[in-house]
Amino acid sequence: MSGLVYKDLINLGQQWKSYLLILVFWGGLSVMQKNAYFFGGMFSVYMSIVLLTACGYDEKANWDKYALTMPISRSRSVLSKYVLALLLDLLGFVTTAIFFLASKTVLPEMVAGQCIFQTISLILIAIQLPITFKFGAEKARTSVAVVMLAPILIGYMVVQSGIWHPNFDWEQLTQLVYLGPVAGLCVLALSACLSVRIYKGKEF
Amino acid sequence: MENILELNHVTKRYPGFALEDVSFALPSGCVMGFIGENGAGKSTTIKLILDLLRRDAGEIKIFGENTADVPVQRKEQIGVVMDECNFPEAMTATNITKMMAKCYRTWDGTRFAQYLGRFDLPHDKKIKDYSRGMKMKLMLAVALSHDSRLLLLDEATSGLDPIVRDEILDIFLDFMQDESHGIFVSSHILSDLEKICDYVAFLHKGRLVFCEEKSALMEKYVVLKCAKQELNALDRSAIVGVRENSFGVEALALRDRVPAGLTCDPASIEDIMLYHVKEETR
Repeated sequence: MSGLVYKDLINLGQQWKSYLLILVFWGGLSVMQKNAYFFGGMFSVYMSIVLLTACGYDEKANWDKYALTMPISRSRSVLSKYVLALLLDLLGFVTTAIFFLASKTVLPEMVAGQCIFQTISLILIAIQLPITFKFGAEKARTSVAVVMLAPILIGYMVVQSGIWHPNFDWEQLTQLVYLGPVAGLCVLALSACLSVRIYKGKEF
Repeated sequence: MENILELNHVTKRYPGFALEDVSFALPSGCVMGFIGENGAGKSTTIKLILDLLRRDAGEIKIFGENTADVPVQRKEQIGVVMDECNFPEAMTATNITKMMAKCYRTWDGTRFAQYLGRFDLPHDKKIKDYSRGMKMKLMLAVALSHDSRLLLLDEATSGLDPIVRDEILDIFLDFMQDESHGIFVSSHILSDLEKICDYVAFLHKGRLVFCEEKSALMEKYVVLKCAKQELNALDRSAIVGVRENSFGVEALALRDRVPAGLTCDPASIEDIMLYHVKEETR
């Protein structure tokens, strides 16, 4: 499995300059707006897009077809992408933490922010990987957009229509934020099981 | 002699195409050429062997074991070259050897480096900058740098110039010095197959027309050149296919059924394949 992750890192490494540029651009924008959350949010979503890029490289080379002729089981082939996803997620976490520290964000706010971003990132990965294994990276890209925009749009429409007037207990909600990453990891585990199932039934 | 590869009544159906009841066996120490027109089902057969497709019926054995029961580690002993380079374009040969060392327990980096030298392939050039010939040589170098006993090659030499192809055929002959090895190769370049194959399997529209020893096949058929009247006088069952031209007719015929005195040329694999197909389309 480590061989497969190594291959993905080599593939992604070829674009390191673009990643750095995006990092600097969002960083600069966050500093100008004095809003570290903007950087954290964007970077979390971006990491899931980077993961799709890695899948796209494989697709372009018809890699999966070849990988299955190697002594690697279908499950390991799938799980290698989840390992890569977690590595990218960790990179997002560390980068955002450094940014929070640099912008002197107070600790409780920083932890809450990181929890929210990690939850979003894990859930995005959990949704997009099974779709990628089933339909390919291109369609998964569209799914990321839908997954990101749909809840916002639906929420807005519900509130605007007057069907539901949200009356949050913000303190309770803050408690829930800390459980987000754990829930995200659980969803990711379920997603891995689903992806393995999809991939085992796939023909090449 | 143990069969290194065996297919028994293998069937795969798609809407509009079916690979029906394909059976053949490749003994260890032999090379089998797999021929057929485009869309005959050659790649489907190879994908079934590699478990990339699920068969609807039949059984496939590699090294004497049913593929369903073969542990994934046994794939260390199968080298595969398809009709394209499947390594992502950003990788270099150096990256590939590092990756493969993590994937194959039997990966031999020294042997890989030797093949790179023999094929004149650069270590640190990205694959995207390789020519097609270089890419195919790289795939072959990879297939030969682990504990491969069986090579499965799907149109691996197509699009390559004769010099590169000849080089690759030499490598195959080297590989076959070990009697426990075997090669199953599909190709449209029948002259190449004629040079290296011990067996020829011919697939046509999803059905196996024949699978025979090459020497027996060449012995069995001749290309008969005669006048139409002379051909009509022959037993029809001795004729496989006929081609008419302005000088008379040419026919693929069974050697032992052709009367002495008629002009006959040896039949090449290409003749045998073409006459079989033409006869069906008549």
